[in-house]
Amino acid sequence: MTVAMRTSKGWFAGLVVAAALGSGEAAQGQEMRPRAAQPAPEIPLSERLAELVPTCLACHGEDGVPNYAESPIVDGQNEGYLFVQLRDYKNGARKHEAMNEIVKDLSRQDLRELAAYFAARPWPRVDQPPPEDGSIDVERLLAEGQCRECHGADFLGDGTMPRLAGQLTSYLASTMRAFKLKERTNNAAMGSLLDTFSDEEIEAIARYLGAL
Amino acid sequence: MERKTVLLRFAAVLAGASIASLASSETHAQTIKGTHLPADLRIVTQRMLDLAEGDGNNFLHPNHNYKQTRFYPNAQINTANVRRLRPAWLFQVDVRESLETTPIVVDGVMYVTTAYNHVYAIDAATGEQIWHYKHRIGPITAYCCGPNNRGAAVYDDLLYMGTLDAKLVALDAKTGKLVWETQVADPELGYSETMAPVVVENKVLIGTSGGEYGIRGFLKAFDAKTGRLLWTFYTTPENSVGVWATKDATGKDLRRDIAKEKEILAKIGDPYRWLGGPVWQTPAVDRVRRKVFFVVGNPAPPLDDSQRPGDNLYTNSLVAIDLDTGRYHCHLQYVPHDRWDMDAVSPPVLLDAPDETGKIVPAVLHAGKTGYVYVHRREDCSLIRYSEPIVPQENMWAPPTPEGTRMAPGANGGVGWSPVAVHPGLGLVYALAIHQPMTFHLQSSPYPGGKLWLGGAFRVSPADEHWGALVAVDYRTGAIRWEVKTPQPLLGGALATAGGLVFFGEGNGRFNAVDAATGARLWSFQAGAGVNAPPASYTVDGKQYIAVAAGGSAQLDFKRGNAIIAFTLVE
Repeated sequence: MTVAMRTSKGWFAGLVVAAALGSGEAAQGQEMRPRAAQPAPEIPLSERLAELVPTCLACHGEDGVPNYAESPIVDGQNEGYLFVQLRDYKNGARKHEAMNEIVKDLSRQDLRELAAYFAARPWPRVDQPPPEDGSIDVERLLAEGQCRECHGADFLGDGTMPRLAGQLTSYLASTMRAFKLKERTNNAAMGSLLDTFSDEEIEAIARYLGAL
Repeated sequence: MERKTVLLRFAAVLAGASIASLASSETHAQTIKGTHLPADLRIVTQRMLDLAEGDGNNFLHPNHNYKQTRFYPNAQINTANVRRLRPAWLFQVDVRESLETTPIVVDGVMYVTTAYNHVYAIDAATGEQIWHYKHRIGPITAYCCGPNNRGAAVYDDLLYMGTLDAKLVALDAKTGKLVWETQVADPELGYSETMAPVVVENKVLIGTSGGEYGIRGFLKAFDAKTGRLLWTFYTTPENSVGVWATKDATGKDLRRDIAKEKEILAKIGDPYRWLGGPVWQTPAVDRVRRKVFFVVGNPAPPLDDSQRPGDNLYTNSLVAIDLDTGRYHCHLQYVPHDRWDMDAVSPPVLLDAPDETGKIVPAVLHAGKTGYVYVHRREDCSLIRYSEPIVPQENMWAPPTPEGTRMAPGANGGVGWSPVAVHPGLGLVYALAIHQPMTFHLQSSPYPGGKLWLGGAFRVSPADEHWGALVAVDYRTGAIRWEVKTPQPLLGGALATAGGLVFFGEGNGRFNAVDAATGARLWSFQAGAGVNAPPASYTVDGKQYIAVAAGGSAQLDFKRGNAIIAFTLVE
């Protein structure tokens, strides 16, 4: 894993070359630009946010489309979820070398403002292919995993439950695998729910959700 | 529009239920005085709330009255004419997500809540909207089974609703404007509000959801005028260990390893701080004895007992506390040291029932996820009897394993959150039952600080057949009188009426009326989305209506919708 350099002014665009954010397992480093999205509209930034946000955009994308396959879309994600993940990176409940380092000195107020800022940006549309017609019955897997109970009928989540619909397929697959392997441990229930799913089934679910 | 409240006489229908008849005439003596415009809403007095049992005009409590009988004392719609029941109007809420709300009706004005905490006031005769309130939900919410809300409470000129971000809000019932709000608990620690509160003597009583999040459950009383906290009863006492019970309330072996639990206790101490024990359905209030009866949900985490030695008091229990002080009165634990999410949740019902000697005593009834209907003495919570199993029971109580242990009932019940209804004249209770066996998988994890904490996973076994049933149980004997099978598990609630009918909905969109005495199907309507909410009834301008929400269910993933439908008789 490439570790970004930290200068006296904090994390900078050098981070672009760092590990993909989000799932906690080794980064693939591959580029993720499924299609050029519309530039995200300008949302006025406080002085503090103006200082913090560029670091985020380096991986999560200026226009909301992440620059790396395993960095999640955070623009338009649910505010409560973003806050709790940032909090978990800060307190170490969610492990990711770069994210843990980036948020470690941020205050709770910083995390709240960052969450509110990114939640207010529009969710970018990325065109991702649905699962190929095949032997895996995704609807059955979604029922078995009780996915809609928390993530909602349309997988838009709410509050501290993340939106899955239209999230990067590559990120979804890697974070579900990380849950299953207990590498991502900041929601143990997800680990248990995914316990019996094969990698192929996880991939099929990820593709289904990514294409929504 | 001027509206007359009509005096309805139910004495003949309620033959043998003299108290209810008396109550109904008193109510009408009161309500007949006024005529009411929606914008000039009449104040809901404590006396009206007390006399709701005999009130054939309004539907003032989520379960109709403080006893929670859900027996509506108007016989205008009855077994002879129910085939002529048709939609009078259909109201569409702005949110297409689970509807678990019971409409509350006050003098021709209906109040409904929705998923994500919207509230609507609707003209109950025409379906026209009077006002709409949308709670601004904070960013932090944690709830396990859908963004649900089960209804409002009304008192004086205020309407009360619990919110997903664990607040209690009071709205002006005339305008829908926020009057006050108070934080009931911290949503970041897994607390949320989905239940309908109950108001009594200027106190708003509300519990909490969060049994899957390692909360410490409670029932709290807030001042109805100001929102000030008056008292808190924690459902997990500081000594939650209990008596190391080896059997459930019906004598079944719980297969506990008590020696191991004692070792754990010596190591980690009493687990009461995150032991769960939510109160997520509305309590019953015994106005004579000044006691509040409620049921308490599962211990946390539901599947993994390795961090919660002891009986886990008062999880999975019927509990009674003092209305004035919130102090403990009595309890009975159905499933000590639960490992199957067998939380007690269907709202308890106060009624009179024969004890073992045949003497009629004040009793309280609860329909369990276990598949039993339990009847207790109100005096000390002790069990008088339990029914025949109303659903198949298989492999109880085989402990969860990493590979998964199959057991029936599954974690949704038996009887889930659905309120039952009672027909006092027939001595029957009507329960919405679920047959949905599950495998219970164990996987230990530490307290996650407000996150979903299951200690493993529940899996619906796809090989099994799942179904539902409306089951009529004679609460005087515990015998099943009749049952109506349905193709899907039932979740929603029942309403019995003096017209000899029982109304209930299904996940496939059917809303049904059956004969209360025999279970014969008399009427059905296809609502187009899951009818997974408890029905209500009311009367405006001398016309009786049946109302129900059709919004589906997040919990069982039944088709979502957004309709509130009111039915009345056509000529």
